[in-house]
Amino acid sequence: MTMPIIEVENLGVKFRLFHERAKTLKEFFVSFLKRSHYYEDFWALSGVSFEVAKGEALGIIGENGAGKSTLLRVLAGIYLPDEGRVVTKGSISPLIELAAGFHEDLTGRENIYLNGALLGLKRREIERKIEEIVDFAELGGFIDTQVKKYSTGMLLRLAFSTSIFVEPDILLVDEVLAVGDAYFQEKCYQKVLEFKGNGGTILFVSHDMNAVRRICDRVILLRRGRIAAVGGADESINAYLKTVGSREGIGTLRTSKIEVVVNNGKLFLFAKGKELTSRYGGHSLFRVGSAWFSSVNGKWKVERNTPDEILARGWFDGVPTITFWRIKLTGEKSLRFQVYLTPGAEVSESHIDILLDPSYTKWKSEKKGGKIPEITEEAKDWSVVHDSEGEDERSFTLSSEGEKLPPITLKYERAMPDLPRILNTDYQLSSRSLHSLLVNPVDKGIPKEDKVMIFDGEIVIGGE
Amino acid sequence: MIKGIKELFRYRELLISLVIRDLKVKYKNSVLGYLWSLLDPLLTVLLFVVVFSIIVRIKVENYPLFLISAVLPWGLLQGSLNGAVISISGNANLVKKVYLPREIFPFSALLANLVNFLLSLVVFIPLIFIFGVKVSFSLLALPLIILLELILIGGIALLSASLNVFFNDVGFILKFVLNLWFYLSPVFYPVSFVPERFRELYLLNPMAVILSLYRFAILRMPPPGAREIVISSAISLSLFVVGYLVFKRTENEMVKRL
Repeated sequence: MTMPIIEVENLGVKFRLFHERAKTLKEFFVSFLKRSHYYEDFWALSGVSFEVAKGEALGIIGENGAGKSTLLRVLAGIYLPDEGRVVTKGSISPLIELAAGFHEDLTGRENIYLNGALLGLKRREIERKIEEIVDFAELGGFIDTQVKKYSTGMLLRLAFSTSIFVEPDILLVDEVLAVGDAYFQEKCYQKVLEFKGNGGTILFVSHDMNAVRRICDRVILLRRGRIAAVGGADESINAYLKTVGSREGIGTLRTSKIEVVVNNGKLFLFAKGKELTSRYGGHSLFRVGSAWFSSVNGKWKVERNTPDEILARGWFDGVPTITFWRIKLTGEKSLRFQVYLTPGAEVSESHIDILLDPSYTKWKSEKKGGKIPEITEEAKDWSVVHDSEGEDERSFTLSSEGEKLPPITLKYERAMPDLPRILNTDYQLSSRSLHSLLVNPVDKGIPKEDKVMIFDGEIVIGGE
Repeated sequence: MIKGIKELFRYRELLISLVIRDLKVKYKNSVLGYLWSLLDPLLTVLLFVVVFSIIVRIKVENYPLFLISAVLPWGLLQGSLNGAVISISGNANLVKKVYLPREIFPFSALLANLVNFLLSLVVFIPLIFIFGVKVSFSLLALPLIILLELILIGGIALLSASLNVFFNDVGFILKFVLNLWFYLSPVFYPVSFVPERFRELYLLNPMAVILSLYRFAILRMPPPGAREIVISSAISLSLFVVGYLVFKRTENEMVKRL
């Protein structure tokens, strides 16, 4: 074990929240005289301890407000600890919000100098690197133009290039790779990975779990300012997926072989600690007029969570249609997934999408089968891998090379009129999708009491 | 404090970059650019000449030169403080996102104004001699006088920049104080106009002593007494120390409050 380059011990950071902010001196004196407590202390971080070894990439994940950015800011020296201590060795370059130091009235070149100085570079060092920076940002002739005339993409490219070329010992990355087009994003990843390959230490904050998996060796999950999980990327990310979002909308089913998590309109499947789903996992969408309502964005309440069944209700502001999900274990490795809608609004179309990990590379239906093409950077739209229309197929299986992930089969219990497809998503989502579409679902679905069933399938994990 | 100054020294390149940024941004979109920093005091002097020489009829020899030798240093104080008071809140974006010794921001506001001030001195001082004031060795005292004024400004700059983060009305108070201070300082009248019995009290205002010193250096007018100089230096220095300590004590809370 090498010496840790970052040591954090029992770190606590406190913020003073003002009920009625004494923004003026008058208010301040009045409340001071009254000795009323007009503020309350809020611990953004507390009892946080961890170490990072040199050359390690540590991910930090958690919901908004969990304390991720506060933690990076403490490491960058922006906030001082109110409790505990933080020891860092070597230079730190914060990528905390890239364009922070940019001034719109200055040219690209002038901003590079200014930002370089902000990140602690000497003028001579910047002069040595400026060609590289401009090249990497691909700004060409615009480098001597005021940055207020830049497009957002150009600005971000310039900002990223400036920060990464500072070459610190410790790189703090806060959700910045989610910028620019897919091509430049990939270029940034390569640069970050190259930095890591050269022995650099990285602290990486992101909501993009694929990015975290790709870059980080170890991941910390923060929840309300405390460490909720520490471990390998898969371990912490799974813990995250199971707990992020409103408590009310979360339900879990577990057998000895698989784990099923319903989390606020997202269905996640796990086997042997690995996630089989990807991104939003299983989710449902419906369309009213020209607006789509995705379960991912709805408000959810798990109404029942017995050891083998979850019943969840999801709704949207402004639409009377309510979505119900029923998930029931049917065996050690299988579950049944049903989706219902209540009649109400004019629902013209509905989708069920189960997004699966891109390491699923082969598909098989009752009649056909084949390889799933890779999703390239150029993929701006979803594309069809297999269209089952008119084939009367009910069962679809995806499997991975060398059984990296257990095969997964979706069997339609009931043939809905519009039949299923296997899709590749765009590059952004980079997932396989078991997809089914229904036009006028409320008319075509199967009425059940006061609702209409629009999807009924069994998911089997690990083959027959 | 020593440690803080050392750290500040390490960040000198950034300080310079910020000053350059402030100056560039200030003049980038104006047609006259740097000329404004010359025109501004000139117009002030012109106005004062009209008001105090023609209407109020203050009897002072070489009144325009007398004015300019105080209007410029006063402009340095006023410009620096107006810049400094919003220097932290106005740079919130930077302060919250990158670690820097935060005193850099008020100091860069001060330095940007100093650069302006020096450039106008370079233009105006030769003019003064062309208009018949003899060059003398007293001019050599100028750097020390400027330093004294900078110390005075620095303390108030730190204090107001820090407090402004916590209370919005510091900006208004500063505006009022600057106004009052202007009339209580010998900008458009000489110290000799102040009645004898108030003079000792009057010279407790460090700016009164500093402006008199400028006039001594540039116009060879009689300097204030040694006692007054020592007292106002002591006041300026203690203000600086107090400002610095308050700034450093509140720094962490300040960043969180932005």
